[in-house]
Parts: sequence; C-alpha cells; structure tokens
Amino acid sequence: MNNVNSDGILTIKNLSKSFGGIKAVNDLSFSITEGHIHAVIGPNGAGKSTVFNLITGVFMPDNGEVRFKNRNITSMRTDHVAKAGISRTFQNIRLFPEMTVFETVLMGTYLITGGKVFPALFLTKNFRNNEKAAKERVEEILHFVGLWDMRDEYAAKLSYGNQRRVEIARALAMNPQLLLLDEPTAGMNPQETKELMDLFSLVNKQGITILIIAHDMNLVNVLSDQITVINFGEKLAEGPPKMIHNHPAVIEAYMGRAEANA
Amino acid sequence: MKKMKELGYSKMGLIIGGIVLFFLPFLITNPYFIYVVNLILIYIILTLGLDLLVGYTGQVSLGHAGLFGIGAYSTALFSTKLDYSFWVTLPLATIITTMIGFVVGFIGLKLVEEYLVMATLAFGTILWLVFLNWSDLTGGPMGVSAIPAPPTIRIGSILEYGFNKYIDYYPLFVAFVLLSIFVTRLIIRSGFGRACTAIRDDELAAQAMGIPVFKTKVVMFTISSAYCGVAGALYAHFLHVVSPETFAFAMSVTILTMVMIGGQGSIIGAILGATLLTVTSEALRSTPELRMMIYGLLIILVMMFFPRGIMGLMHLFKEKFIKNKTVNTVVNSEVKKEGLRYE
Repeated sequence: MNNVNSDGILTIKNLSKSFGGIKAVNDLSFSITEGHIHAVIGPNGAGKSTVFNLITGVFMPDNGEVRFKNRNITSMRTDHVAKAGISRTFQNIRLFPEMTVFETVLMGTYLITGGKVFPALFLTKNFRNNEKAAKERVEEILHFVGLWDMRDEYAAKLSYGNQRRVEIARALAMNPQLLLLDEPTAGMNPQETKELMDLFSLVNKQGITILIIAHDMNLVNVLSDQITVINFGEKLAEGPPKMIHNHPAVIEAYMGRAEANA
Repeated sequence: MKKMKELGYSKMGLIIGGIVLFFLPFLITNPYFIYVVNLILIYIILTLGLDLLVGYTGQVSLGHAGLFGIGAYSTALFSTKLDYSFWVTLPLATIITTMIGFVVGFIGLKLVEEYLVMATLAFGTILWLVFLNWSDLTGGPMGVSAIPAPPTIRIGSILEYGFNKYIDYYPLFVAFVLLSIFVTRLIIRSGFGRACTAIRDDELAAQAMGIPVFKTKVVMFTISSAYCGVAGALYAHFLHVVSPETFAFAMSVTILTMVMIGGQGSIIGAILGATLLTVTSEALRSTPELRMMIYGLLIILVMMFFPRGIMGLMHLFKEKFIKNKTVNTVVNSEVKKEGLRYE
C-alpha cells in the first residue's frame, strides 16, 4: 500500500490529522519527484489544504512524517520550513493591504536580507549589498511574472488574476526549491487560468518543483507530471494524468457510484 | 516627472518649515512656552518608540509608562546617589530600560492582542507600584529630587555651554529627536522593519515567508523600550525631579493616544500627535480629571471616524482635492472597512 519512493524531494509518510472526531487526513503517503509538477486533487473537503498546512507546520500532525530533501521537517515551525526552501501561496489570497506590488514582493526577500537590526542601524556594507540584492531580485521576478509595469500599484487594487501573480512572485522571491500552490486558479476566468498555467510551467522550467492543489481535473491533466487523488483524507489513486483519468475509484469519487456504473 | 516635482516641493517645504520651527523658540522669551516645547520633544521620542511597536508591528502596549519610569528613575538614582554625569547616566538608563523591556517583551509577547495589552498593563502597574512603595530606593511618593543638570559643555575657551535655563535644553532635545527619527527611518526601511510590517498585516503570511514572528516582535519591543529609556533620562535631567504619579497608567494611555491621534505607522503622525496632545494637556492643566475623559473620548472618535489618525485624514484630503487617482484609493477603502469594524 505505502510503497513510497523515498528519493523524492518531498516525501510524506503515513500522515494523519484529526480535528475533533473528523479525520481530515488519514494515513496519507506520497512522494514528489524533484523537478516535477505534482498535483493533489480531490473533491471539496477532501483534506487537501490540511496536507499543505501539515507540510508547512501550520498544523502539527497526529501521526506520520514529512521529509524534505531527506531532512525530517515534521512539526517544524512555519518559518523554519520556509527557510528550508518550501514556499507557498494561500487558497484565499493573503496580500498586505497597504503595500504596492513592489513592496509586497520585497517582503518575500526576508531570507535574503536576513532581518538583522544592527547592520541596518549602522548601514554596514553587507547590509547595503543585501538590500540591493533583494531589490534586484524583486525586479527580476516582477519582470518574470509580468508585473513590472504595475510595480507601483497597490497590490490589493489589482485584478484577481494579478493578485495571484503578486502572491506567486512573493513566494518566488524566497528562492524556493519547492513551491506549494493552494488552488491557485480558483475563481479565475478561463483566460486568467490559462495565463497562470503558462506561468507555472515557466516556473517549473527554472528548476522549481511544484506541488499544486486543485479540484479542477482538466487543469492538472495538462500541467502535471504526477497526480495524487485524495478523498476523505485518504489516497484514492496515484499516477500520471492519463492513468488517473480512467481510474474507477477516481471516477466514482467525482461522479458518484450511479454514474460510474451507467 | 510631475510627481517627482511635487514631492520635491513638499520635501523642501518640510525642511524650510523645520528650520523656521527650530529657531522660533529662541525668539520667544516666555519660559513656560519653552518648557512646553521641551516636553513635546520628549513626548515625540516616546511616541516614536511606541509607534514602532503599535503602528509598524501591530502590537499594543499599555506598559510604556513603566519603561519611561525605569529610564527616568535609573538616571535619577545614578546621578543623585553615585554622582554620575548626564553623559554616563543617559546610556546607562537606556541600557537598563532596554534590558527590562526585553524581559517584558519576551514574557508578554507569548500572548497576543488583548491578552498582550492586559499583560503590559499589569507590568506597567507593577512598576508604578515599585516606584511608589520601594521608599528606600525610589523615595516613595516623594520621588527623587535634586537631579543635577547635564554638565557644562566646554571646548577649550571657544565654547562654553551650560544647562541653566529651559532654552539651554532645547537644542539637546532637538538633537535627540532628530536622532530618534533617523533611527526610526533606518529601522522601518530595513528588512527587519519590513518583517515587522508583514507581521502586523498577516502573521501567517509573514511566517510562510520565513519570518520568525515571536523573535521579531521581541526585538521590536526591545528597540521600543530603548526610546523610553532615552526619553526617561532626558525627562529626569530636565525637570530635576521624578515622582511616581508621572509614570502611572495615565501616562501609558497618553502615549498611546498620541500614537493613535497622529496616525499609526507614520513619523510625522507621531510628531503631530505628541505636539497636539501635549498642548491639550497643558491647556487642561487645572482640571486633570477632565483631561483623561477628553483623551478617552478622542480615542473613541478617532477609532470610529478616522482610524489612521491625522495622517489618514490628510491622505483623504489629498485624494479629494488633489485629483491624483493613484494615491491610496485602496488605503482609504481599507480604512473605511477598519472604521466599520470598530463601530
């Protein structure tokens, strides 16, 4: 059952988490190969976001293990997980209300500038170099995601699709090795969805592994190398998109039993 | 380009206004006026310090009067009991206040929001009780008196500058205010300052960017205490006497009111808030009970109608009268939303 490939960049083993009496994630195991776009799909309430929160240390798992690049990161604090090289976006976009696009993305460079106080007070050479490097990095990323022309706009004022871009840019500013995207195209129109998908494959081509949550199968079919389907916190199926498409358990979860038989 | 020019003018106006304001007190001979100006300068330092915590990091403290008191009392004791000079007691007081601030922050910031407010309030009250009751050290309700003025500055025979009249303190205090403003700017523009703003706006998002939330809050609380230490030392040497009632709960409320009325998260706001409230409080000197009622009413009105204080109002005006669409439409809609929440 749990024949998990432990060479993956991120490996989850027998992960469980209950809230009250409800098992949000139940004995879940899967592994992500470095360089892949890996999708976790499932109906609403299947426990997908909980998996993200368990990986990033927002919740503590009741059981199980999370390994990132062969390092045990189970129950690690959220900021330490980020430092280890995992960066994420949120299902409900979380931007800072009073910042411009540039400032928002600059926030993501904390791990570059380090956030030390004394160098800032004495304007040491190291501090100035770091600040300069951070700003250059932001410029580079804003060009990359196509937001450079909007750098001085308030992030919260942009269209929904562009707000998501800002969030992704902020996540990229951290120089992550693994990017977690939680329902990045929820609420987007088809045009925005397509543009974001193009952006994701571009990010992936830069060598960043992506773990993406979605409940839209068509989206992940095009994009992902590997799909894990979960329902009620348990793994239903795993494999490349083609295989998942025809998997009876998946069809049942999505369409219901009656239609599956019909 | 046009924007740059506008910015240039407003900056130039600020500098010219600042120079005029700086020389104004020298022309006025009324010592009471100078006394109030010096008090304002001390309050500006306190307000800048608290604003770093409240406005830029989103952590409210009602214990800063206690830290201000630590700064004042340590200066007072070092200079009266050990005869240390002002130039020694000032850094000593700052270091002591900073260390105590660190301990308070380390314990208090394990709590969030209203619990943090309660913890800092309790801490401030404890310190006040210590000032009041540890008579052997602090002089009890009488406080410490006969705190000497800073020693006369002598550079050979060219310059001799003594601290005799109120006006003599004025340039010294201006220098410390400028230093505080400079340090504040350095902090808020650094990666550390940005991390604090991120924590204020969204702790979870901040954490996800690798920001250690607790540590960052404690460091900011400690920095904020340093401002209280400096202000306390200046206060003690200026008035030559410290007594416990100055550092009671009402002082914490006063500083917080200054931050809120001026506009959280703004250096100019802190200066405006400190000035406005010091003048108000001096005007209401004869009726101190009325003063606290007016402060309470002011806080309620500010939170209801313009939660970003005077600076927030100025942004609104800018938007209405200078039809610059790119300025802060979002901020104001956000402000309105916040206003509703407080209602």
